[in-house]
Amino acid sequence: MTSKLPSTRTPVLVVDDNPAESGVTIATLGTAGYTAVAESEGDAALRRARRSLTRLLVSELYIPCAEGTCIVAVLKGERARLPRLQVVVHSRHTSELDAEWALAAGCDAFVPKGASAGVLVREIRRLDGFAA
Amino acid sequence: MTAPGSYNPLRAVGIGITFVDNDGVYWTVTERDATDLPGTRGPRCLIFASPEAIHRVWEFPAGWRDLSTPSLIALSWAR
Repeated sequence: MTSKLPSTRTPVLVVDDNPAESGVTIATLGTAGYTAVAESEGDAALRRARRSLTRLLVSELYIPCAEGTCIVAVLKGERARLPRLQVVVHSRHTSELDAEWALAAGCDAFVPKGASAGVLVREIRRLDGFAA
Repeated sequence: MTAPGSYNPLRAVGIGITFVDNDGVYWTVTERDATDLPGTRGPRCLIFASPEAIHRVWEFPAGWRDLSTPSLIALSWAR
């Protein structure tokens, strides 16, 4: 199994229009040694992701921006600029249609809010290059 | 809130399979067309779906349906 010290873990950008839910996500990631910064608005999230060359993004599903209806699709479409970007959609919208929409937007994983905290951490670790 | 925009569900390719992992979690695996996907890394991907999470795997063998359960579990941890 690959091992990394907590200090070497990839920073995470959390995008959520609900500050309370964003706080829960950041706390959950913190238990696994991940540091996270939060944005609540789509255009600000795009700017931060591009500026910091974000590699791990945890986002609510329907976060619009000036460039499209969903920041996940906009950012995943920028492979030349963000070739290592991995996205977990962590959403309060949990229907089968929502999950399919997230997959079609290009996300790498979909974890509904309400799933156990360990599930989100497991997906982040997988996308950060950890073995099971 | 309803889904904005007009993303279409990813078309399934062939039949899906199921397995149960070491924690007793039931997974379904389907191969999907990823041709028009934002940020696509290939023409196809695998989607692993459980009651608590869904995730995508880009690198997989052509004969993935013939893999043993331990091998499918290992594959599910790929990216």
